[in-house]
Amino acid sequence: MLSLPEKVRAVIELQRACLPLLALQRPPRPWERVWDTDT
Amino acid sequence: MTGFAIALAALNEMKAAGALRDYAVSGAMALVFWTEPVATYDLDVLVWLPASEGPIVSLRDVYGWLAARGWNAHAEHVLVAGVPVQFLPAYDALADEALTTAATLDYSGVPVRVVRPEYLVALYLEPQARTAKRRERAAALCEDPGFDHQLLQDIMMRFHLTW
Repeated sequence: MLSLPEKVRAVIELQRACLPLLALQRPPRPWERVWDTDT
Repeated sequence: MTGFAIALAALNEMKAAGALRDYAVSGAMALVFWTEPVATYDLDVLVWLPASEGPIVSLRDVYGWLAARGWNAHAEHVLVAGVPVQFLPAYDALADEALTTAATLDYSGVPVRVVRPEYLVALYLEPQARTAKRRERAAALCEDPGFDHQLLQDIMMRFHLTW
């Protein structure tokens, strides 16, 4: 079981992975970007 | 303190300062607290705002408190320590109950109020919220060993919700 900080890091990795796919479907909204945070 | 923890701590500070009466993390990031990580780009926060004189709900005090710390609103989000946060005033009786019953969890030493999984599912099943992705997420929540199916049944009956 991942700790909560590990899960948040995983969310950011998912953002990195999914954003290019999302951009293929439609222009990302302004807030749809990889979080600029160290979790 | 890390960026996500700073964003959560800001919610507690806003409550202590009276900029909001109470809050609970909702949406996909609440789901992350209870089950597996999912792709999401913002932090949804259900809020009760301080009582106002008029009938119009305004996030002015919330945005003002954040702007004083350099966190400014862009459309419906505020970028708090690198995390886009959307404040959602509780919009119906179910949202009120989800806020009332929220659990206080711990994120790296920061207490954070989070909507319980049974209420997350119920909120996803509201007619105005139903999407294929949310139904999928609701189903994933229901598979968690700690999920209280009886509580969900009770909520669904009282709020006339169906799968």
